[in-house]
Amino acid sequence: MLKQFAKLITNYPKFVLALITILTVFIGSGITKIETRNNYDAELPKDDPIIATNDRLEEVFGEKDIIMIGIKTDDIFNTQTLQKIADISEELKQIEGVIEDQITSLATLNNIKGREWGLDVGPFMETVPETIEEINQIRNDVQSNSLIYGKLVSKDFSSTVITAYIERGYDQAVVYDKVTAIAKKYSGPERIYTNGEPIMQQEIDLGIQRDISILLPFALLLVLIGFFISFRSIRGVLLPFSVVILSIIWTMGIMGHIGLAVTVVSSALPMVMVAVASSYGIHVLHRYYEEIQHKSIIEAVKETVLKMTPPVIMTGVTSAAGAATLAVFKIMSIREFGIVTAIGILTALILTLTVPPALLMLLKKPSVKPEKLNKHLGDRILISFARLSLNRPGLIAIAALIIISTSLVGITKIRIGTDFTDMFPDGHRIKQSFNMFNEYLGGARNLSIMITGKEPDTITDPSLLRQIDDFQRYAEGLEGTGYSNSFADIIKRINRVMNNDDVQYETIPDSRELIAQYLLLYSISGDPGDFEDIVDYDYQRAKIRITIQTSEQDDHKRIYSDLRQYAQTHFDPGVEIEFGGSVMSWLAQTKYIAKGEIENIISAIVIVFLFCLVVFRSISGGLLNIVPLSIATLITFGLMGFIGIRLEMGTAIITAIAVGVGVDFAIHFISRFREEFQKTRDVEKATITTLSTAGKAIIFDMFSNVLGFSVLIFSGFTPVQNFGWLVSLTMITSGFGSLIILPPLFAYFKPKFIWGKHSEIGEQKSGFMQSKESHLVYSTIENNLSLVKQDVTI
Amino acid sequence: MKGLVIQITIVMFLSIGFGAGQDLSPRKIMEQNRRQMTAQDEQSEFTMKLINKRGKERKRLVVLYSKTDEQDNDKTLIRFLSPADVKGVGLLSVEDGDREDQWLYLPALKRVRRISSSQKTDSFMGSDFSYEDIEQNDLNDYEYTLLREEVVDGVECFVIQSNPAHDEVKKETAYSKTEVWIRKDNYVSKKVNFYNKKGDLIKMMNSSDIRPVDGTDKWRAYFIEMQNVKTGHRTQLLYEDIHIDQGVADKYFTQRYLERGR
Repeated sequence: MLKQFAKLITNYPKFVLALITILTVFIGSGITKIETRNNYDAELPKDDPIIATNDRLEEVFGEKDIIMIGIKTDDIFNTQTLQKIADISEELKQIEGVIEDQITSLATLNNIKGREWGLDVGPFMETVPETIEEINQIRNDVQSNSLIYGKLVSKDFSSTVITAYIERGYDQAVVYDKVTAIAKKYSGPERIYTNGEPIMQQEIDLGIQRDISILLPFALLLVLIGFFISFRSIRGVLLPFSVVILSIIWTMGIMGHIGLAVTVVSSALPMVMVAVASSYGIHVLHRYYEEIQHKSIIEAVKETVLKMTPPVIMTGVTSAAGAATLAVFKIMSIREFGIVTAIGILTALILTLTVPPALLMLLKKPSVKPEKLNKHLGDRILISFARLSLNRPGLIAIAALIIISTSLVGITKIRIGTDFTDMFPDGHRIKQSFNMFNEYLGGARNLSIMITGKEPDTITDPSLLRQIDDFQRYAEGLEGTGYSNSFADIIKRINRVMNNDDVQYETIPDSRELIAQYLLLYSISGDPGDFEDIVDYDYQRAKIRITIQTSEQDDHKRIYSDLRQYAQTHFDPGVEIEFGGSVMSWLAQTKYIAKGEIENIISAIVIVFLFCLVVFRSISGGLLNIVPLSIATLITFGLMGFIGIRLEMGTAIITAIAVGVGVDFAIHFISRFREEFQKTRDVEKATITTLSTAGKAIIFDMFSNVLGFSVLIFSGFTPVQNFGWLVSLTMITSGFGSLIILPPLFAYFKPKFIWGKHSEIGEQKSGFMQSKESHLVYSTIENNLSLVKQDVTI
Repeated sequence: MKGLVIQITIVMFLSIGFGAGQDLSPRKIMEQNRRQMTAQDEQSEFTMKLINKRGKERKRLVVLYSKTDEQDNDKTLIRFLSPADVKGVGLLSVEDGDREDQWLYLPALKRVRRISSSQKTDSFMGSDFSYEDIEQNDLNDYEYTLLREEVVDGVECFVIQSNPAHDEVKKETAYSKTEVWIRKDNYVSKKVNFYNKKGDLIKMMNSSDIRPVDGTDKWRAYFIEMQNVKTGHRTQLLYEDIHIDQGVADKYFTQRYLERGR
């Protein structure tokens, strides 16, 4: 098989390249189909109760998103600012998809006021007030209207909000641009903040685009420099680089063809591909340079393909399997990222084994040899590592125990889940907007609570309205909530106005007829869309909106659990209460992340164990392999707990990626150690030799990977930043962990698969070397080692 | 050559014939329409059906009395008959020259309250109709153009465009123009398209079940639907009963009657 493959490449390089070209055009065409996904509801399983509630809320109250424009100045009550409110309200109507009669602002809102002469029903601001008297009038109207004061207008009169609803199906980029243009046009001296779903979602998409357009070239530049330092020749740069580029094209193309959207999580994919694909390309080329020194082109290429195919496949498959374990998550972005990364790694593997060898067949024999740097670099440090770990096993054990127990303490502190606002770094414009809304306007996010009565018309029942009202007062009293609004507030307001504007009457009246008549009064004096968002047409369901003033998810959790508990005990039986809204969708992710992470760690470790079981034909071989990885994972999570990084979408993917890539370190180390030990049967000598050969290779491989992943630290998303540096950290700890922890473990346990059976036949009988198959695997590891060793020359 | 002459003759003949049937100017057509629609007094009972985008309905049964007095002041009383919990709610509006007064009666409060009058562009009772859609506006405030003639639902109609004639109207109205389909046979408007100030079509009104009202020569649409193109919201008026010039008593338009119902 392998030989036929090598023959194919050496005999028909043009055919192979033509095939790859055709495939690249075909697969690459998928890139045009790639879409981005930023809708957080789509992240959760369809049968999740919160998703189901959100679907029902949309069914009753419309499939729409909110746009919010916040205005902040010293005092909004001046002609110029009020004029701007009117103009912005009008301009929002011009945006395609905006529901014209559901714009809420001082300029559009209906006000029912008691005047000396009677009831004044009509828009809050018929025309923009110009005189001091008119301005004072509207200020007083606002202050005395509990539907508006502290809600639509901040209590210090410094801020106000204009909200609009937009039908789903709008072009988010267009809406974002238009809203941003409006904000810009009316800015100064007032500061104008934009918020709401179209804005938030577009900020995500812009972030993804920015990440890919800045980080990808940056990562590519880094590997170009790496290739140049490594090979000092044009082909040495271009061949592995072509593998990197083609892998990205193929992976993104496949994403497009199979319909996987780019999300915040998978925006890291091209950078992950750069890190992975570049190391494969380097390995293949190094081998070629080694072979070409004393062979013809055909021979060298054939030998390279024969020798490199097994190790590349092996490392590739472990990494892909590690990534694929992310499929255990119920959160779509994470699952898709796992699948697509696995596909990407396999793609890089195929391309590495075909493109550079085929191209090398067509190129002339190189004249320049890669330069070799001082091989003894750092040798002494590594040897002192070995001495330390072997001579002071007690110290290592104690240190390991301390690290493990400290990490365990840290892990108990880990907070799970993240809020939308945590996706962006501090100082980002969307965060500034959230802060402004949180501080002055009761928050930009909200909980939507749907109250469903037993039958139509139950919402006008005074006792249910009182329960709703009490519930709102309770909610407003909780720490972290802003204000609330519902149908009950409107009834209270009308009752007060109808009773000579007496505050005593700001209550729910006892008569059901009176409530129905107030409702009629309100509806016949407004627009058809006035009630759309708070009560359904049958008067069976009402929506309570509670704004949330904090972006801290732990607060969201507390508020939700308090409210739910209150609702369970304070509403009549038969009244159904459901919690929805975007805050709830983010909250719902928590349980899937926690459950998914545990399952993921277990499945990743089990896969590594099984893999090593096959490679070493030994249970203890499998177990030893797991040790450094497990400790590395513990350290990472312990650290997250101590420094307060949450377990969320970005950090949840660390384990699978780090374990998949990091398992190679332990495999290399163990196999080299076994080889050396079986030569000398001296633990110390074997350790020293292993460290200065495989150990060094591991360190270089580790750093080249870390270099690739650390580009992600410059991402525009906090979760991707965290992923970037934490996955790097995990690789470093698992790499060094292998070097330090494994030798004393070998010395202590004397595992059979290394020591062998102490019989006369010795190595002959050692199970590992027996079968042809395992010999192949072993030589595979050897090759792998040697290829990693090549990196030392960098 | 001869053929051409004949052709010209036919064309001339046709155009003369056409012109003869068309001696009505668009303004005249509108006057005919106005004559058809106005009455000294009117009493009607109708169901107002509000239908939202998702097809959910709210229904109200209403009786409306209206009368125009000698000084050309309009008086209107609207009384809700159902749903049961709003039965008896009444809205009275009385015009007095340029001034209009409105009173509201809520039976559960047992009190009449004066209430601010409505603007032209305000929604009529929370429906998709605004006051200017149902009021008879002054013909002098608009300019009329005959766009074309068209057959709608098997009936021949004039299609007339009306534009505000002067700035004052431009300021008051919500529309830049309307297009009205007026039936040639009885001058009842069959259909109206409303365009906002930006020039976009925003609302469409359609009438059907157009028939003469018992005991008069006036025709009325017994079914009218107004649809808001932008919001997808619709309002239907289904008339059960229309009486024209049967002598609606003046006492209907008093606060006392509003409150006591007698």
